[in-house]
Amino acid sequence: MMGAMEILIGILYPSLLGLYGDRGNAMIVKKRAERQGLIASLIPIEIGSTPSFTGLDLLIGGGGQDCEQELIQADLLAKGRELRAAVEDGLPFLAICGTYQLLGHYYQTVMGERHQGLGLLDLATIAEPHRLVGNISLQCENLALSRGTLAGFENHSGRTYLGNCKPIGRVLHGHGNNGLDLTEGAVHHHCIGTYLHGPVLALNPHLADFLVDSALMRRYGSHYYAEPEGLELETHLAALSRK
Amino acid sequence: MKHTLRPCPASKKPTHPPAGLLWAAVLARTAHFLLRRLHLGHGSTLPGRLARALTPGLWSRLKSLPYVRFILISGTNGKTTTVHILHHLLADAGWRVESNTSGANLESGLLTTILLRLPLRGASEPLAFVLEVDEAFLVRLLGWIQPQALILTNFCRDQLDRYGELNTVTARLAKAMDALPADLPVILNADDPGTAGLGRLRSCSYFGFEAEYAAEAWQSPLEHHTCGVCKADLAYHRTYLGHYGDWYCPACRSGRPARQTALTKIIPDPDGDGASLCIRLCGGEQPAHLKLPGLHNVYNALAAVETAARLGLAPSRIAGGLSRVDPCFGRGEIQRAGKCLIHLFLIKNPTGANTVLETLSHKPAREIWFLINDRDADGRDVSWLWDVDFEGFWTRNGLPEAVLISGRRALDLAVRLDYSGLPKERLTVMPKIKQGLSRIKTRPGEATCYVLATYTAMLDLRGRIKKAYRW
Repeated sequence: MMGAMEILIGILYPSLLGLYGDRGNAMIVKKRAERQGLIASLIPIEIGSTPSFTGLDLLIGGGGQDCEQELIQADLLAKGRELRAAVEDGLPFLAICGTYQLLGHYYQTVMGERHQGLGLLDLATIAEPHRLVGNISLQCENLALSRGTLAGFENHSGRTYLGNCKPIGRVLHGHGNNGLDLTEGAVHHHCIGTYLHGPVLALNPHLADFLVDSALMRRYGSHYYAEPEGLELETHLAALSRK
Repeated sequence: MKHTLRPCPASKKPTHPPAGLLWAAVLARTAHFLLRRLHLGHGSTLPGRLARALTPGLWSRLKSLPYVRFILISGTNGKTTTVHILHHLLADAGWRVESNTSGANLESGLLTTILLRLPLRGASEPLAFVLEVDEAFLVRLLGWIQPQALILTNFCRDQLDRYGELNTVTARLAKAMDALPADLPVILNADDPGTAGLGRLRSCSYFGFEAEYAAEAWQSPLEHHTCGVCKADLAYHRTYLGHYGDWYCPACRSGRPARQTALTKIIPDPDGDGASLCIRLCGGEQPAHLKLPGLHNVYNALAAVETAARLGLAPSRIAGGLSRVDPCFGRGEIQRAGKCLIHLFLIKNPTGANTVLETLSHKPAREIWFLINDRDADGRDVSWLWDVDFEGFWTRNGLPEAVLISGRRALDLAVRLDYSGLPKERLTVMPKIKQGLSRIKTRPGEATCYVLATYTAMLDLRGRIKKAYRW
């Protein structure tokens, strides 16, 4: 057997984007990978740093308040080319809430100001005064997860409209991208944008496993075998049934 | 008895409440009586809701009562304890005081408290309502009544699903405060940049730490704070508790405002259940002993002390009163269930939970029972569990021998603790609080159990202990 496989997990702006327990996702991916004998390291990516995104195996970005979004927007645009190349190369990227919105063409605030996004996903977001808040569950249609459902909590004023871009799936309960078309999230290669906020991987261990599996396939060409069971599975099922 | 409340009308005859208010008060009392009698709940919000629905313009009628004063306390953490301490200080000085210590702090809860306690025959002496007010509702309330004093304890992330984002809440509040009279006492936490920043545009008084003592810093994804003037990232000369500290802006040189009430010395009791304090107040040093655990309660005490001073109480009287305050609902109070001593702590957000863990690290906390609910009053989103620094607590304190988890979101915490490195065999999940309680009280021998519960779970548990042990 060759030496232990390792994965490098990048975390976008951990000191700014960490509004709702977002740090949980990094902790979960790392622990799950380690339980399967992988060596996993977390790499914080802050404003001004120049990481090699292509050299990463997995990238996670969380949600922030509007003022924090503004702080990171310019920095993320500067990193745009590198990031796009990595995503096109198949880098698994979990972009939650605020980060998800920044991956689109633009984000328009309630006051009508338009902030330019990366344009990495073909979508745009327009904020409205009334927030979409509550438990959400969905049926995955465009992600090959070991279970076909995702569940979580959403809390966003932005309404995201997809262009030529696939959603993760169809909303079973809750609002999703915009509360109108029953879509939730967006998928492009292994880049996954979603409004399931905070520690989404705590409720969906199979999504964590999908990210690790994609990372291993990209770097080593080998699969990662883990099946959520016991406590984790029970927690996912409880979340699915929560209204 | 002397104090700075405006005197009542010169005639010594009591002023009667107007008919509309009388009717609302009778209605609320009847509803409260029936609810309690029929065991339909605590009756801490429904009477107020009913009265409001059937009597329009209640707040403006209350505002017109010459003998009623409102002292409002808001902020993310520490509201209930600050109300509790201030209530005690004022009552100790001979004031007539009522307050909503049950923690029902939305409109219906406030109205319930007021209507149940309002003297129906009127009064010739002022009556002060010391009320904790939900931070989002406070903005509306300030448009309806004018308080005698306003206290803001701190602003942290809390129940964001209800409020939207933090900056929106504070922005609205700053606007509402702008409309208040310039001479109205507004008391703010100098050490919390988010709260202190609210006082930039008006005259306020401040409380804070100046003592050489800091809680072991827990690792938490920070409450990110930017300068209210120039938006640059804030820096700290030192921190005291979480993000409370001597902050400043490296860019525009603005910084922590001067403190009128300051903690100058603190010596925690060996058992961690209290501390000896030295407080600078009205220019002099006052020694006091606080019987409440944790540094966060020292902040609550400072808030109450500064308010009492602004309301005209003598410094020595304040310090004396402070030393006689006992712990209140869910803030370290101790209940006995069978042979088991249960220490109750309320948790509702990462900052508050980290503070409780910091308090527990002075104690032999071998058995911990968590109760996590997700009803509206708890906050429906439990993502914050991931921001609680359990890992740091285990490192400082060692792993607990047994952890029991109950409540509607018991599973979510179980997953969180599993990833925190707590071995699965020390973890028991019993979603039903009733089952958890019978497990706790049937263990052999004398034991101490530390309970950390969200609001509705705490109410549930207290109700069950009360029923079983009739205290």
